[in-house]
Amino acid sequence: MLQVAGLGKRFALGHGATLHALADVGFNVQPGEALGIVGESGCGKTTLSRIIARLADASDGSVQFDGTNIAAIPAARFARDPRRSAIQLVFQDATDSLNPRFTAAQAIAEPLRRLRGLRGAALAARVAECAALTGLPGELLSRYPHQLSGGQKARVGIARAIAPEPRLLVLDEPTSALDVSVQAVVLQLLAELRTRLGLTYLFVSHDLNVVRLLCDRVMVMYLGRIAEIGRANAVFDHPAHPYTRALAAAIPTGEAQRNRALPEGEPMSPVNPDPHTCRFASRCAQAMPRCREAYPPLLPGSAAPGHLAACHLLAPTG
Amino acid sequence: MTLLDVDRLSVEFATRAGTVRALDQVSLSLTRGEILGVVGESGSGKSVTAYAVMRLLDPAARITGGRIGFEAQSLLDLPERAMRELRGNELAMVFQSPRTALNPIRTVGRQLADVLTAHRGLGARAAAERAVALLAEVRIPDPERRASAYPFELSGGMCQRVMIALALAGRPRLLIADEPTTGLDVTVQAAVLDLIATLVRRDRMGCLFITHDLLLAAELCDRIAVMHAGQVVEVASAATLFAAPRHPYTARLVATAPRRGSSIAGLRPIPGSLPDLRAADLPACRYLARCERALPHCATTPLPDAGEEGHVLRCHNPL
Repeated sequence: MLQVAGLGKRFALGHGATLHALADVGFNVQPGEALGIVGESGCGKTTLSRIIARLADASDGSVQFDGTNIAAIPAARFARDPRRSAIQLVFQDATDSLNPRFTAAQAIAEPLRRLRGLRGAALAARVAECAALTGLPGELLSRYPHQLSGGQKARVGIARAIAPEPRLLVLDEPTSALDVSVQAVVLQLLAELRTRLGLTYLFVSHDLNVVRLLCDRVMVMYLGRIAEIGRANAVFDHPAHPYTRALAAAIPTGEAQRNRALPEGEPMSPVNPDPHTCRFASRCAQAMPRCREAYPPLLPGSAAPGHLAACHLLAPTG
Repeated sequence: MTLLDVDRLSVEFATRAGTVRALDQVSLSLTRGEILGVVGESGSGKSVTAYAVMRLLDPAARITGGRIGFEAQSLLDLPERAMRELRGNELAMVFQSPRTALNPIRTVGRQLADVLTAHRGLGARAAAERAVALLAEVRIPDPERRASAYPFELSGGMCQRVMIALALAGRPRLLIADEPTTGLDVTVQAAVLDLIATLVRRDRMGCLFITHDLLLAAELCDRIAVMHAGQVVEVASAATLFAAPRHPYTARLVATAPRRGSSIAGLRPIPGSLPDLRAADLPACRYLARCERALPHCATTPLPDAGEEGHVLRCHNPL
């Protein structure tokens, strides 16, 4: 359904400095699949999701969606593209992403008017249908965001995203602003909608416990590059990249932790990085001279099919 | 020996929309060298408790009952001047968003030196040297150079380490950390938690660790107090609370947090939401409307102080 290849995004900072937010990112997503994208702040996961959702333009590379390279269509023009309704976004904080002057019903109706041209009774019917799908009681539809709870706002954000019948939903930290009990409800809703509507998810999150719960596959990013990708169980239970191992060790488990191996030092700068150096080398306890001579290719991370990691340690010895 | 003893503390806030009864008879105690987690959803009163101990509550707040004992002193009876003396010396607090809590137009070294001059009476030279030593203590690499950095030049994790260094500058006996790792990446979060744990044990401080994340609290804390709608509902060792929660709310919190081995269908969301704390007819147990085990007298009979030694359980019908 989605084939991303060689995707890169650079931001010019002036004075000849360039920030490399994404470099050489490539992966596929099958229809109906949920791919989790995890990594620390600044790793490029939000930039990547914005490019795929066509809110930002890539510097290079392609995004094939249903056989068309949508990365070639400028983001401004994609807003009026018929495929706009096929890819929708759920934003991080529903409080910030909902228009405070729109009622819940208006918020859900807006994409239907603009992308589907619905008006009148047909519009009202579809709004009611989407509210029902997301478990939003009808009497809340006339309320403004400030009159809704965090969980209700999250439902409005999801109802709005599914309204124009997308096939791909890009979710950018949809539960990070919610309390655990509300988070559980929203996660269950997302899981249910995915099956019921046959949606494909690109799920961006820093919460690895949540990603593990909702996603079939996971992609770990580090400073704009793919560190590791594979089935969620393979990646979390048998992490192959030293960075993924550190991430997995840092996941809160509820048990007292002692002597966990955490990466030392600071991440290297994404400004004018040396393309021949592994970007994790500065914090990696197992860094070798080779890590500073050539950027490691994606190599099989375990026997599990499709489990790949960008690390020289995985290269056959010799 | 008890370091902090919060005893039946009640706090109200006067608002235009009515009086919010934010804390209802909150009791907590903490000994030296111990980390006590205070866990609850937003609106549970965990931060209000922390701010009450620091006596930094909003002017709209009114303490309507209870006392706060800190060693031999009763904090609520101290004049403001004596309280200011304690803050920054014996009592220190680490806030949620370090970047907004730090002064943006002063280097971190200068901010540390300011505290050392004000609270420990050090001269300029000695304060500057001690500031660098404190930065090294919170494991900031290259502390001499970082001392002359402004907060915007440092990462979020580094800023939080600076906040911890500021809190430690007065050699506190009680450290209050209010969601110190919210917004930090997991690996950075883990490192900051390890740092807090090491320092608390080393200096035999007491630490009140406030978080909404039960899993995080269980990793770091010796004991955990669970709060709901301004009431402490259960206090027990972290291991007990996880393995055998007895308050229905605690049990739900444990079952609703995603962790290794849990499944989407297995998550058990907590029904309902927090009661309106402005309501005149709040039931004795504020969890009543959400509780599956509620009994008729839960609405009227004051919460019991049940439970075995070291286990506080405020429920009429526990698991």
